[in-house]
Amino acid sequence: MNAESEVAGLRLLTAAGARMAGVLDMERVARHLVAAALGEAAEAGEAAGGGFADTVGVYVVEQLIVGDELPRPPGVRAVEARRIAVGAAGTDLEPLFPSGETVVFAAGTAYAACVTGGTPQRFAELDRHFALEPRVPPPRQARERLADLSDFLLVPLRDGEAVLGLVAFARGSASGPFSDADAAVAADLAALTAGCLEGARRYQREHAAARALQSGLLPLPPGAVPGVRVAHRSVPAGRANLVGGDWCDIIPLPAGRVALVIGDAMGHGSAAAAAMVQLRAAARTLAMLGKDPAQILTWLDRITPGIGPVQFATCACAVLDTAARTAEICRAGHPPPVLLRPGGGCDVLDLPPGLPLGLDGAEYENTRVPMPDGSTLVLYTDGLIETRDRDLEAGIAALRGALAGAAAGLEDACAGVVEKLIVPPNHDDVTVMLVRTGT
Amino acid sequence: MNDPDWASGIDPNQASVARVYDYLLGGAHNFSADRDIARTLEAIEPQARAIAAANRAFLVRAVRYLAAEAGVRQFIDIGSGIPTQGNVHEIVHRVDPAARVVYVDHDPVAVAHSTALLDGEPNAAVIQADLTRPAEILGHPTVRKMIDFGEPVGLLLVAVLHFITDEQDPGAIVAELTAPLAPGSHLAVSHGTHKQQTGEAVTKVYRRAVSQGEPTLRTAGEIGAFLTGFDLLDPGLVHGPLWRPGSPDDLPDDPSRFWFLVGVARKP
Repeated sequence: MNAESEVAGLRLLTAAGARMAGVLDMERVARHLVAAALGEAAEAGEAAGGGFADTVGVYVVEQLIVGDELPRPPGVRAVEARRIAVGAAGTDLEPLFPSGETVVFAAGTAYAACVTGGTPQRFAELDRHFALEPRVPPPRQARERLADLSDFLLVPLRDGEAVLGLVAFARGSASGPFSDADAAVAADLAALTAGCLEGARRYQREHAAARALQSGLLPLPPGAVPGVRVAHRSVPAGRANLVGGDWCDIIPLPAGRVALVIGDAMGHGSAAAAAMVQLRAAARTLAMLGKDPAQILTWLDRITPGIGPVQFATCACAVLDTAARTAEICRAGHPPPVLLRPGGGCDVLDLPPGLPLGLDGAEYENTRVPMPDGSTLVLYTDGLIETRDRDLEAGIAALRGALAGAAAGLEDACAGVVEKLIVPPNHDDVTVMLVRTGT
Repeated sequence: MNDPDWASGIDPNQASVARVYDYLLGGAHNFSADRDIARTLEAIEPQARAIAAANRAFLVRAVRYLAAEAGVRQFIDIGSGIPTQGNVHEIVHRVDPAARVVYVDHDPVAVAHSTALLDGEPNAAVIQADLTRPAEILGHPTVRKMIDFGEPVGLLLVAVLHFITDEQDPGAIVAELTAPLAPGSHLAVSHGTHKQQTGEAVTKVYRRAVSQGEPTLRTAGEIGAFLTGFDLLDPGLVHGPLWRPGSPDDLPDDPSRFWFLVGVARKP
């Protein structure tokens, strides 16, 4: 390898690494590789270098995309793959070979062999994969570009033992064939890309898991509980967390009663979420067993120390009786719920504060509150009102202010309160739930 | 202990007494584990921030008195925590820039922040040491260099003795620390005292979730016993806000809601 091409190879690896670093989306990782290999400038104004290849395609095995376990022992077989990025110097191959398309590399093709054997492949003529009858007539430029390709290099995307897919590089007659040094650079480039793709894949999988968890934890859809209307918002702390320790729940009960629960397991992120899920399920079960709010909190207090690393939680619990138009309410160290009266005006409910859950042995006491039709109970977590420079008392005053000027519509009122009180990025999970009686 | 290994001493997933206190005082040197604990404390005691601030305010008033009126020119502040507004050396140096202050804390984060703050301060220093081993504090080269035990010393034990359990014998620790002090030395103490359910719950949270946080709340009699052999100055052992308030407006409606007792005493 001569010094000049070695420098060019290193420069390419550095440029590709800089583009792909920290990218947490597989498609974007692949697009960065394509751009770097084609020699496209990373930023406007930067000089575009000579391309390493004239066309580049990135393929990832389909199992990875759909989230199955990784592949199967080597052997001659067909390979299902997803094209996640494609590019060509001087023309657009996207209409011909769209990203996101699933393709099958037939057993015995170089493409399939590259993936199943984990070995680079080299050939001089357009593979059948590319020669398939195009669904759209190729524009002249693209047709000429493809016809001119005369050297193909397939490199496996290896992450440890696993082969995640492959990168197909090709050059036309003017660029000349890939040298041995070029093949080594291509292998390094593929290894770098594979690492980034694997990181992105793991991130996307966790992200999807968190989303699934979160969507399963929303309170019931509107209209699902007779006798009340509900609006709610939840904003997890920080930018990275999708779930946290906050929860709220509505549990329809026999005889026109409805249990409402809001809670906040100490901590942020998945550890807090894991504790929250258990507390939420326990609260739901206790409510369905007909326990009153104080009994529910007493049991949750006993359960909390045993549920894992998160040791404390606050919670407020209410059971509405829509026929009697009253509610029994109780709290465990949780900020006090607010009651909006039907004719306007709001009261911070004067309830015994109760100790947070997890101190084991706390005593809780129900308070009965009249709830004439059109009353709105506002349940929230401390993230809504408390900040570094606003303590509980000042926060409740701010909440009262926001509620006093709130819109009449429940959804608008809920959105308005969050908008008035929260300045993103919030440092704490925020949950608020408005429940209005008499529909 | 002059060159502690910061990285190995800090576990951001474990709350620390100093960082929880820093959060309650409105400081920025705390991690999410500390904030979680502080929020739990606030759920139990909604006045937690006000109590932390009142404790800090007592420290400021006591130090100002010792420097400006009692003529004390050297101070040892044990359990000094993370530097915040109104640090001891700042108060003291306003009276006399030549007065000397040694801060002592066992928390590596607190010591690191203090070290950074005191860079270039010839008359103030910080050491990492533990109150449960008073001989190490008294024998520490920095203490020996900066403190002249032939002259009066202001020994500050503010919001720290309640983290010493009865088994660790706080009385003996105080006696050992005060034994070498010259006549005219002063001892300033603040200490958490009993408050029904709230105090027990706060104690439980610390015990369960804060490293080296095993608070023991004590009665006025038990706290007063730490000052044995000293003359207790006016107004005696009182709830924090009642100790020589700056103005009558500083007095809260119900001082007993600030459930810590304070006192300043003079060695005869």
